[in-house]
Amino acid sequence: MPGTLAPIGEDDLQAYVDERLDAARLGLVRRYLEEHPEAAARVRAFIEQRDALRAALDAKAAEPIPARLRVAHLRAGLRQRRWRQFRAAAAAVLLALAGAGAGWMARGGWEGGPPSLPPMAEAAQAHRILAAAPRRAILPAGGDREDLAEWLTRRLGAPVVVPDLSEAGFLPADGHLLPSAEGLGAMVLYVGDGGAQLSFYLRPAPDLPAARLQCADQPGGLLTYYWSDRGWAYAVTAGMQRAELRGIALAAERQVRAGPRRVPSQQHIAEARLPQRICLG
Amino acid sequence: MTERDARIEAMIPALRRFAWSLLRDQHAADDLVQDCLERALGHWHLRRPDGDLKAWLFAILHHAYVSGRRRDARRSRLLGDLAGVADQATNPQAPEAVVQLSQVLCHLDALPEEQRITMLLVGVEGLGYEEAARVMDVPVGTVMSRLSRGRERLRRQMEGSAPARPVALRAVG
Repeated sequence: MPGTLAPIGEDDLQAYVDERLDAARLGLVRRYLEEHPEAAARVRAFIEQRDALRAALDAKAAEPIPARLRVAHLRAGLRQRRWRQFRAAAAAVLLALAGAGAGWMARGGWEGGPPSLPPMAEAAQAHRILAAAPRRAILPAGGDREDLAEWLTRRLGAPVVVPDLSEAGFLPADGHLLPSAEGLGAMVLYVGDGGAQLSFYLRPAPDLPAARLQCADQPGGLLTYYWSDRGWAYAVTAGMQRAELRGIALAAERQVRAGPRRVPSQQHIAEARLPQRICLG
Repeated sequence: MTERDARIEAMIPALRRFAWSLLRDQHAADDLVQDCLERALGHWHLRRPDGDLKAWLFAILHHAYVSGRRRDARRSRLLGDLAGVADQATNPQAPEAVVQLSQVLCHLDALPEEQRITMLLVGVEGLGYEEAARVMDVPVGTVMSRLSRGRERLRRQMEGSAPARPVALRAVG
């Protein structure tokens, strides 16, 4: 906007029409219009046409909002679409697991397999299958974490936190319900800058005592950080540097322990960048 | 309803009016608004926390309009206009006013699209110049010049006092 001393220009006349001049400038423009009847006539015509347009279109804004545009309705529609996708995804995963051989979820006892699987091998196994699967557009880019958490909470029958990992550049992109030996669990896939993938996994673990973050090397270069709390087992899995994943997993653990509906603070990631403990997979 | 939903819903009447003024077809306009709202709900976390919700929603709608095939609907609507079957913003209580009003809209139709959109955002929807610039993703100076050229052109057309409809349609074609 021109200063008080600048000569009156076209922008001033437009701002006069839109009533966006400050008091000092408004006085100058008024005086200018008194002295320039031609400009005053133009401005009058502009105001008239603006009012005519408003009058012509106001009826549209006064109409009641159609049911299909109500936010609650749109949310329900979005959820339902997501749910259908989830069910399809869960079925596909079941088939894939059945094909891979039953019993991969049980620790040890894998006939003909390695004598003992790493802890939380199921999280890494699900990560492998789901990260490789073509991305379904279950969530719009970046998704809506709160919505997803709400939906998972209803499906799993326990409060679910979908961690906010956006500070590390990871946004939820895809989610799946997953069967486990103890009941229904879920995996949320996050995608980071440059397409890096990370998964957050949870399943019921009623007999597992609470345990702090630990890590396990998984076959195929994957790394899993896992912990348990209040009857649930959690895992964060990715094929990335230990130190980097540890920071992210710590942030996830803190948010999950804090419980639902808590705004994550900057502190999470900052603290997570402290030197790591030595981790023996 | 959450506070967030209530804030979004409060904007829907204005979004519908803007979409209708772009498309002049209620069904296509509501499709566009639905598109916009679904994107907004899905991308809520990408919104700047201090950002202006109204400008953000209008930007999403504008982008959906410009990038989509919505113009097809508008084009066919203008063809419908030629045949005299336009879906006007009518008010059955005041038939005289309707004639006057549709003339303004026909004159508006004759303006280049970016001038028309700018006049709608600033003049009808009440967006500030910076907000309108953000919505259209152009510098503020561009908003000012579109506004000034659009208003001047509309004024000349309306002063021409020729029957509104033929003037507008010739200019569009």
